[in-house]
Amino acid sequence: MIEVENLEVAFGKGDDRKQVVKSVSFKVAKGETLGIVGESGCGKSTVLRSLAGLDRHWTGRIALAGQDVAKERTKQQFELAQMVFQDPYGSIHPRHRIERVLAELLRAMQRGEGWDRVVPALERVGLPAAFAERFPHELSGGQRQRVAIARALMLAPQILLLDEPTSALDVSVQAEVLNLLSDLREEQQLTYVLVSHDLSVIAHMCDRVLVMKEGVFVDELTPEAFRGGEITQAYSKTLFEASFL
Amino acid sequence: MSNVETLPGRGGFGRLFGRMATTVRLSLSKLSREPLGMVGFIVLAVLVIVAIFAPWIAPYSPTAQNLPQALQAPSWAHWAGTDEFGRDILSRLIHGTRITIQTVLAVTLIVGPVGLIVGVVAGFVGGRTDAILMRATDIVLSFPSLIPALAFAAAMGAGLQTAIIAISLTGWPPIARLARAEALVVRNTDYVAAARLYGASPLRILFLYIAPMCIPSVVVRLTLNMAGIILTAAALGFLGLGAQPPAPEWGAMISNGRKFMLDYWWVAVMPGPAILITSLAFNLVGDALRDLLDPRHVRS
Amino acid sequence: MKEFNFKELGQRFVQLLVSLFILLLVTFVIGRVLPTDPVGAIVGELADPAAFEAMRQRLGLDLPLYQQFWIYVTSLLHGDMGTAILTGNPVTQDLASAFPATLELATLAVIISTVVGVPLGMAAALYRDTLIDQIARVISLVGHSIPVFWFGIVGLVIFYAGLSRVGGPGRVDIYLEGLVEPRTGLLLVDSLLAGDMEVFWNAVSHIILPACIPAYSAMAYITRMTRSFTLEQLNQDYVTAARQGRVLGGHCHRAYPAQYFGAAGDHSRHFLWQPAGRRGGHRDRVLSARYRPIHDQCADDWRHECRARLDADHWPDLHAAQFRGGPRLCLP
Ligand SMILES: Nc1ncnc2c1ncn2[C@@H]1O[C@H](COP(=O)(O)OP(=O)(O)OP(=O)(O)O)[C@@H](O)[C@H]1O
Ligand SMILES: [Mg+2]
Repeated sequence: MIEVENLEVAFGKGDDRKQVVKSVSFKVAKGETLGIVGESGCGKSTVLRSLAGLDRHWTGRIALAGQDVAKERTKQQFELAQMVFQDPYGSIHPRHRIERVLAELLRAMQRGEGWDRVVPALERVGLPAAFAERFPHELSGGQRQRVAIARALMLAPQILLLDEPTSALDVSVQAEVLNLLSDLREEQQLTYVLVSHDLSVIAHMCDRVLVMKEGVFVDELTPEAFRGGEITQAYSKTLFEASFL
Repeated sequence: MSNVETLPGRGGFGRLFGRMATTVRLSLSKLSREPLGMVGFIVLAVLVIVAIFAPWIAPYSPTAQNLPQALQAPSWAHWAGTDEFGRDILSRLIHGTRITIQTVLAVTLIVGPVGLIVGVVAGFVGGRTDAILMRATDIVLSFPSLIPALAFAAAMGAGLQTAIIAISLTGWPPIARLARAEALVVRNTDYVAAARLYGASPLRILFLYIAPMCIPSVVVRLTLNMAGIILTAAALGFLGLGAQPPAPEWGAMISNGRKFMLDYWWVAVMPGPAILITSLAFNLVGDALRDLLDPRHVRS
Repeated sequence: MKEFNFKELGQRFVQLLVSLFILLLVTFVIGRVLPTDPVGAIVGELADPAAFEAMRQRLGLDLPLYQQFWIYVTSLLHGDMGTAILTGNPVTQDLASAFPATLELATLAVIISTVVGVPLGMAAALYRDTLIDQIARVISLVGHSIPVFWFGIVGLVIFYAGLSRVGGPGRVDIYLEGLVEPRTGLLLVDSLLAGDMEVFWNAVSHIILPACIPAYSAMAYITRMTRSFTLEQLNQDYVTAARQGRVLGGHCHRAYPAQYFGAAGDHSRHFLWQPAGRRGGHRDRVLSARYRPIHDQCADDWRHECRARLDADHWPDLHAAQFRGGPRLCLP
């Protein structure tokens, strides 16, 4: 579903140039969930943003659904992969009502007004239809993240890129959102790339885990290895142990 | 769930009106917690009513001369006295509200959108466009606004339009800088990133996502600016560059009264409170609006 | 610590130069190209063509525009601000003759506004949301809203015409003029140096009203700024700590000077003092405050750097332009 070869991303020019992602390659099969872990600032979000088409200064090859994508995406390519952001407070326009937040995708894509799709979309993520009338500040964090997920699903993408989707939520709500994501994955055969700091989240959700350090993948783990603590690679080990301290 | 079908979107004017009414009611109830702001708001409302109904409110004609009644001190017949042509000063002041409100509205309607668009485009597009636009803004900003006003008056002849254009010409840069600062923040938010991901065009992002976020602070700024616009317009009138006689422009009335200042003080003095009160009202409302709309600026 | 970036400094400098250049160009275009007719204004509309042409040549108006512009720029660089078109005096000379009086007036106004404004602003911040704060707020809002040219008239009507408490036109009464030896040009200082208290008090009575009136608007500004700076400082921990033991004032004030300097510079532009003797004296000074409101409209904007730098260059234009304005500008 996703193929990445020799992806490199650098910020800045000249002396300030900083290579953030250094020649990473990976593949994700359809219906699979790939986890990416690593310490803060190692380039996880940058990989996701390049996959989604937000960052445009990468080099290498990215293919989505068997089709190579350029730095400038076409509308069809945008429809393939959507992203859910870390902070539900910052990822929804504060002056748009929920109905507009959800309808905007169809309107921007010039696929009609989109108002009639709002209620089904809300119901899909388990929110009452009456929320369509509300502004984001009238919702709780978990409800907002549901709206953000509903938005990401509006265009029926095959891939969801999840950048720490639960880290801004408290624990009880985290489980709720994760279960929602699992259910949606079953229902719609979605492919996930999930970035998280929380190893329990990763263990719960992922089929495969990549460990990232300073812009490169240093290890690949199965969730079984994860849960069983059978980690051999030194860095993964420190990371793993640090998260239980 | 039966009303669900009628819920989303459109729903016609009734719904829209209902929403607007709610918004207005909410803001008014917030405003009522700001007594000074409320006072300013009421004063402005009164001024607008006076401007609209000036011919019915004013006891005399603002321009008809009545020489036998010239330079009368304030009395029951002429609350604010009369000028050298025997015109009732109060009536002239009442009609003058029209000129003032007109000037303020016209300048705001020019300066607001221009400043907003320049600022938002500069902030959103960035790079060279930003550099060029901001340089232009700085240059205009470094210009004392009387210079273009004088030049304009020389080129086009003094008059209300000239004054309006002249004030607008130097009035947009502060708005543009403000809008740019807001746009710089908004363009990096996740909701704009999300909008990019569903292929929203730059224009769409600019007008539906970024501009709405800049509007509150721009509105506050414009309201505070209105206070300044009134003073500038009066100053131009005072210099003879605003509305021309016999139009009852407040600044021009003061300037005119200077000739008799020491013997017939009311001719020069009476228009002052009108300017002061109007300008003050805008300042009060602007302050209150800032407290209401701009969460970052905490006054108290 | 980031290293000092010379490249960025260079870029800034180039930007500033470009701004300056464009600014000069615009001033020039407005001054020369717009259909005002300085020649006609000097020699009179009905003058014979020869006199007209001679004046045109003397002013250099017959040269191509780019040459006129070149002359304008180079002479500015040489410190020659040109000739005030209507008086024929070099602008620098006009400025120099008006300078001491302006300086005296502006200094006094700044002193008055600071002495009143700072304590008021601090009081407003310390007693936030009390009656004191509200009063300070109203005082400063009124200062922001008052048309200064009108305020001057009211001052004259009340204190000069009505109560005869202050002096009228001129820096001193006519019978006292030229009595003290001009050492600094500042009459207040000179009379004190000469020990002539009569002249001193007379000069005070002449300057107090013209100083107080613009000082009020400056004070409005200073009060407001002091209030918000003090609030800001109060919210910082070190003041919270210092509050328990030491005096508050010293701490808060460390942050102020830069801003005050800005405020003072900003407002000094309001104290335009016309060349002495040309149009009478103090009354003009009161009334020239009519230039103020324009600048005040964005009073709490941080003025852009080049604005301050270029201000000096605008004065000659302001003079010229002011004279061009015609009879309406003449004062009573
Ligand atoms: N726009 C940018 N300009 C310059 N550097 C950037 C930019 N965005 C990210 N970086 C740098 O790239 C590196 C990787 O950032 P990234 O956001 O991918 O980290 P991350 O792994 O997602 O961290 P976290 O877990 O904290 O979200 C960081 O060192 C960051 O400083
Ligand atoms: Mg990240």
